[in-house]
Amino acid sequence: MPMIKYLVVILEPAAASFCYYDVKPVPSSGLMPLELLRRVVDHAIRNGLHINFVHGDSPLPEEYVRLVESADHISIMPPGQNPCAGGTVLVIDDHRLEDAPALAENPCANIILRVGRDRLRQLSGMVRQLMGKFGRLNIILKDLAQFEEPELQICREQMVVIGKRVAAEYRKGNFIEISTLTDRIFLTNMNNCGAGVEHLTVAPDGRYYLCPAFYHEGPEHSLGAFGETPRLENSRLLELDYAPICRNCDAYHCKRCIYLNRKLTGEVNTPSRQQCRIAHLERDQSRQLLAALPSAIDGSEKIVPIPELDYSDPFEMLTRRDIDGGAKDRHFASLLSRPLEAVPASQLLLQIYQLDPGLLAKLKQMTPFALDLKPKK
Amino acid sequence: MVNQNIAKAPSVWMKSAAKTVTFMVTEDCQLRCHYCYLVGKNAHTRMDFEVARQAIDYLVENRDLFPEQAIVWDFIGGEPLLEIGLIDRICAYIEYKQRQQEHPWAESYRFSLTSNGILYDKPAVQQFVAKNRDHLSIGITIDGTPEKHDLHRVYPSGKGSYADTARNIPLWLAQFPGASTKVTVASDDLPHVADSVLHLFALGIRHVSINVVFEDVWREGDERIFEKQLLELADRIIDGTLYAEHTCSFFSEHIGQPVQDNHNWCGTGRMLTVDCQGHFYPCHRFTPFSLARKEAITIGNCRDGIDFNKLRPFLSLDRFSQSSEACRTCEVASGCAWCQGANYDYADTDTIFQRATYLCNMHKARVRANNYYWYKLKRKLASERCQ
Ligand code: SF4
Ligand code: SF4
Ligand code: SF4
Repeated sequence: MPMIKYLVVILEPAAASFCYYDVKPVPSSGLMPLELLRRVVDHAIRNGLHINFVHGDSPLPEEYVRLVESADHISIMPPGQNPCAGGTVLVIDDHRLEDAPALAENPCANIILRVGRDRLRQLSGMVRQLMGKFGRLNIILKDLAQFEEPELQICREQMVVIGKRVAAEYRKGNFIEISTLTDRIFLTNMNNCGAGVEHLTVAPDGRYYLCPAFYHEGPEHSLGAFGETPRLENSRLLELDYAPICRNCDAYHCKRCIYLNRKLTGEVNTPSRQQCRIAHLERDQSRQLLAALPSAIDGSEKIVPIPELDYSDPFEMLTRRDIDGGAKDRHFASLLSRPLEAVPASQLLLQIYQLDPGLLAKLKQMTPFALDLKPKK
Repeated sequence: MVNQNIAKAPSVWMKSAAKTVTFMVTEDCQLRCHYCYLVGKNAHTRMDFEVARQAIDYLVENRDLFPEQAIVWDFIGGEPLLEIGLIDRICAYIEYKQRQQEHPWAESYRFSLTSNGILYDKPAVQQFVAKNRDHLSIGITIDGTPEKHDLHRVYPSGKGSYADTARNIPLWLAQFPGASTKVTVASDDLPHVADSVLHLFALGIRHVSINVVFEDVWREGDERIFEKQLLELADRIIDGTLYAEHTCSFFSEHIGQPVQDNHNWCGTGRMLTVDCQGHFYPCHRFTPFSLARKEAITIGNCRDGIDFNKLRPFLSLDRFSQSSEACRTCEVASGCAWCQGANYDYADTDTIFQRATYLCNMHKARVRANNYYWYKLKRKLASERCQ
């Protein structure tokens, strides 16, 4: 069983989507039963879990608010709701951007902007409109599953425009975060969605799901009733080690969406071409942004430069026939070992020993080292 | 060990460089073999020529998608020789299309068929063989002694098919002298293993490719019967000096070691299977009738082409991500095979990333017998050198 750190709790069937999935129109509306919510909150508190509540448009009755406020939480909600004390992330769909002016007084510095294929060209305009109203902006390309080359090209153009704006802000000392552009700059390890590994979802139907997307796919995707141990068969496949493409990738900011993986490739551990292409496009824009900001960021000497790649999808590299396996291994090892490369070997070996003494012995056995006793000239 | 006194199994033509495209031309067969993957055989589902044409056009016209230097056009069924007329027409079209497109495959292609051999001597089949001799391989499946063969390879009436297959073996071997046969061993067959391999050698088949099934069929104690059979076979091959001209794939110098690489075992995904309706599969084991527990995995069809997203799991599969801790650290893992289709069929979830290891004890028994075989053979050859 993986180490779950938080629960995503969907407060009503029509609660806002904050990610790659669409909210299916549901016959029954209404909030999650109060009794269920009480059990979920109680479970979270007793197990040291944080909660991300996902709200819909319905304002919460008093007793719900009290329960929500009683747990360590973040509330993810559409604009127009009363921001919660725990921390609020606003979800704005591109077609609801007209609500954005109401954000002028937005106390929540965190916004998720969901953009569809038909409004991609307006992405940089939307970001401009939201400037000053967020400290962190998460951009979700909600139709990613249908992206082909034209959409990717539009994304690239839009990212260039947004990148210029971000660079200008950074030069002024305003270090805003835009997920698709700045996350990769500051990450040195994978930081993916983590569905099923770091978080599980509890839906209004009283069932566990890997994430809200699976809830909207139907109850056959449930992991069982809340209150029982979630059925997570083959859960190792949700972990990075067991994802042969992602394990060899340094697009650390990528969502690595297991829902899209399942839908497009049939396997939760295998990303689609769309996911890899977009993450690499973003990675490359981050690389260019970083290169254009040599000293604008405080502590920039600690930031590891992002190397340029000659592929836009690690799968391409993995399956290339003109490069032998050894050369591929060397490439991926050098890519993934950053910034460990800078750590003295003795320090690294000490860490290996502390983590797993057996591994150190194995490493010694595997690594040829012959004593050369010839006298030095 | 390089030794000129030991025969080598024939190498597979363009093994890593060739794409294999398999057409399932019919769902019909004269036989009802107990272990056959094709359940629901019927006389009405056959491939339409138009389906084959579309698939060929797609493959030959999209050179960037299929950059392999060579191609094997493979035909299976049911029993493919029931459709020899259709196969002949498809092959003629392939040759025309490759030439018309000036495709490198025009210089580097083979046709291949796997048959039960019953119709092998029929005039239409013989004409096909004569016409395509230079770039054709045909495999005939014969399981060993009449007793072993007839245990599973039977007509709908229950009558064994040994006599009808064996009748055509001399003709087949005359036309394809280096041909090998593939034998599958299940629990019931174990007592016949040694006799069966030797019987096939005696029929003139010098290379026997044989493996135990991957499915959950093994019973307590089977590994002891298997090991005993293999030890007996080892003695008889070595004492009779059969190793000089014959090979049996149970014995290999490269098995029974810890594994250092991270490769997938089988070629699923690099191959392509086309069924009678024109659906594409990563290999025939993912077709609906080959799976007992799971839905088929299609990766496209001859009209729309391949959905390459669906192919990504197959092409990125590695040993590590599908193996348990026990298999990853196993001291005798090399040569321990798996079938991706069987893995998928038995997996706890709808995944190809979970190895079925029902043959674990059988592999370990094989490794012990294999160690014995090579130990004994090397000592024999060494003592002969000293004399
Ligand atoms: S798996 Fe993660 S990234 Fe994908 S839809 Fe669910 S929450 Fe979003
Ligand atoms: S870019 Fe592709 S390989 Fe890299 S983490 Fe994302 S999904 Fe995985
Ligand atoms: S199945 Fe058994 S013999 Fe084969 S690798 Fe795994 S542990 Fe070893």
